Amino acid sequence: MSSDPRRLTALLLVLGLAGASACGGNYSNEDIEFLNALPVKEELAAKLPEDMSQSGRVGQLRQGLSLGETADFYSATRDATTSFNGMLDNLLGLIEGVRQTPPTRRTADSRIWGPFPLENPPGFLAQLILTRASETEFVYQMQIRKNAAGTSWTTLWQGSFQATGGVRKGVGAVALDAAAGRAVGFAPKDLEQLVTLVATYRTQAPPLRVDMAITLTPGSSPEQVLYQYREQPDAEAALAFAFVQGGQALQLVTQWRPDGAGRGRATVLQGPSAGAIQEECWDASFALEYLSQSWAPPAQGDASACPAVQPWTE
Amino acid sequence: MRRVAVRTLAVALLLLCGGASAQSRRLAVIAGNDDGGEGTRPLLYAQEDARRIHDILTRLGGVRPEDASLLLGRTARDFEEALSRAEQAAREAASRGERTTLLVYYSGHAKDGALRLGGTRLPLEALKARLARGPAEIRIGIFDACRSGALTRTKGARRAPAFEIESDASQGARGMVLLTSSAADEDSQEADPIRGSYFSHHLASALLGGADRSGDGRVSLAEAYAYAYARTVADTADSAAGAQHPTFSYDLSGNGDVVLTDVKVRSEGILFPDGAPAGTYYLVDARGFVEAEVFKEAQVARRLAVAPGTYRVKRRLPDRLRVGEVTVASGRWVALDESRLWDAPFSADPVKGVSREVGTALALGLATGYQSFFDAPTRTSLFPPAGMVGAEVMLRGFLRRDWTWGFDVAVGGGQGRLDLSGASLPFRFSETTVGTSVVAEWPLGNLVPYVGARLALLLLGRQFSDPTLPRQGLATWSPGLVFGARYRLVGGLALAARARTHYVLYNVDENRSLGYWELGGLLTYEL
Repeated sequence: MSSDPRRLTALLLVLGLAGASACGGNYSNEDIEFLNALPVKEELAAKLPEDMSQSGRVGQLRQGLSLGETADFYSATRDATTSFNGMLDNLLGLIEGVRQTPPTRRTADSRIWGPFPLENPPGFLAQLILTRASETEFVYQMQIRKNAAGTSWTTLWQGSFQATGGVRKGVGAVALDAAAGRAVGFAPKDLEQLVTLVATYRTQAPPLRVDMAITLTPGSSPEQVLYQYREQPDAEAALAFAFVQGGQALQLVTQWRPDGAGRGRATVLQGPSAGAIQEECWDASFALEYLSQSWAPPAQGDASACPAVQPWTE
Repeated sequence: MRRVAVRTLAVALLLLCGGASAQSRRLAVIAGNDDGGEGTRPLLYAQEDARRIHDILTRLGGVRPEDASLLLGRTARDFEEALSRAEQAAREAASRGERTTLLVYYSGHAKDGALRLGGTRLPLEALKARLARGPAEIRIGIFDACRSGALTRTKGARRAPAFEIESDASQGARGMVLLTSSAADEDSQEADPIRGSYFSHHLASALLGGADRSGDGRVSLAEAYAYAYARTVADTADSAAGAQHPTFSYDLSGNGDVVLTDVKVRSEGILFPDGAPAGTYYLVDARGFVEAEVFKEAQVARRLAVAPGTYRVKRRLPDRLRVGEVTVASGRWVALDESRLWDAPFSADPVKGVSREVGTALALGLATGYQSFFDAPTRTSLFPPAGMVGAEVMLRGFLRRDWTWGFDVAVGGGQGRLDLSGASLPFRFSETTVGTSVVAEWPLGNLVPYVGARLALLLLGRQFSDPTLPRQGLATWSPGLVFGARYRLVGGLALAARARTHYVLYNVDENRSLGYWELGGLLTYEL
């Protein structure tokens, strides 16, 4: 029996339709290697046991604090971590978006996402260019430009990562130049007072270290803020933040255990009260257990109740 | 011309020896070839005919399996070698004092004075001469081929429509008998509903017991020929190709008839009691093809020694069908109970093959498989080995005879790890395939090897345990080759083992040519 031409036509039709179908995808080991160079917000964020009932004040050393109340320094630390994490969000939020999106273009040593339109503020395009400078070193730039012909790209922030082995293990830095953005009309509300934000991090060995320096526009309050976050593998952590405001400088270093118990030390670095020191310790329910104020001895409570923590390192 | 000399053939067969005695040795060379080579159209069922005759002769015909050579799609040289082996066996048996009978059956093309086995030829006269001087005491040649009547159109031969039966003939015959399916100027015709040629189909029905008019359970050569002749002529009388008239010739000395089959030897089949209504009963297999048919006269019992299995029974009445189902168990006769048949309209005819232009059959299958890429780094960090399960639909005979067009879908997956800068990222690999394949098959009895080509759409994906990493996917077309073999278990049920090898163009990071292999099993059911 010979073949029926109509049936062979059916076969060819099926094969033709198959061949016309689109192929492609993002199944790439190289993509994963490039993504490994980008920081993950959640991994760098400060983790502080939460007590939502209180709000502390940074910059005020209260008088009349009693044992058993929620420790001022705990509340201040919580506010500082919220601010710290908010800054990270501003810095790395866009990376979180591209992380789940396949690159728009691939070359042997680069991945490019975009250009894509921004919603905040509207009227701008953005692109992320991630380049492999060497086998272990990556650099990346987030560029923006107005969505109009003839405009050129402006680097809003840039970063680098030196891989040392492991998943996102290495040394990285990210710098946001908000002033450069404003120069081309890019002024989202979140960044109105920001001039620069520089974050560096080290993940290759414990503890995790994240340092963030923020410079705000002159006349802002404060004008400069420095955060230093350290996190041990067992979730013991420390946050130091210092700010400069109107010729005064204050540094608060707090350290806490995974169960929430912690201790803090505030030092006035500049200003009329320079040299004043206040120390607090709190328990797992954030209740003040120990209070020492250099200007109002004696200390309240028992200093031996303060939790043992790793020595603070800059 | 074709309806003469009935009595002469009857006398001839009277001279043949009857029955296969304890000292007799039966040898058989059975060949079927759909391909007749250049200038011929491939046949549909020649090999099926050969398989059927082989099955009957080894089950009921006193031919031991080791004494039967079944040649499917083989060459003239293969045929001659098989014949030589049979002749040598006959000589050795004769030297031990055994009576010997050699049966040669061929279904296929014959043209220009030669049997056409693929691209090879076997001259009819040479074959006939060889049979004539063969060492076996009785040589029986049965040729189901176009214009095969040329074999019987020679000096000393006879041709006749049918002949009388003489069951009390004595033993001692020597010589040769030739049966052909058609006259020298006729084509031999095939039909889808019976999945075979008319002549071989009726010859098979005869050997299964349809021709046992004497009711002794033994089907003689004369009975078989008479039955096949009458049914073949009747079935082809109104065909476009015209009526087909089987012929015979003889060159014998001695007395007796030759018993070809003993339908009682296996004690299994269907018994049509003498009280069952008269008429032609058709036994339809699970695929809708007529396995055998028998004309039952009133008040006469009939037996059909069909192989164990389930059959649908059909008897045609002027205004309706009577249908039922009968299951034959091994080693048991099952009596057809008329009360268990029911009326059915003609539209419910269980014979399916009629409407199929080239015998298309639909089969469904469930498949499992295991696949792996050849390249070790790819296998380790990109596409890890995967277990697969799937379903398939197959159109057998749709494109052409012994070709199957299949459509398959399968899902599966595995586990992998991507080593990256000193870290290992575990991921779950998933795969979905949608494919179509065309394979050519070479049926060898219940075993059907096949080879073909396949085009598949591969949808590959992976999800890393690290939730910050995106899900990755790839869709790509992949051409490949398929090898396998299917073994028919019972009815339309078959089990297959197969291997695939495919090419994959990976073009995300860079253009790379990859390949993978797959081993699998398949359970199919032909509707």
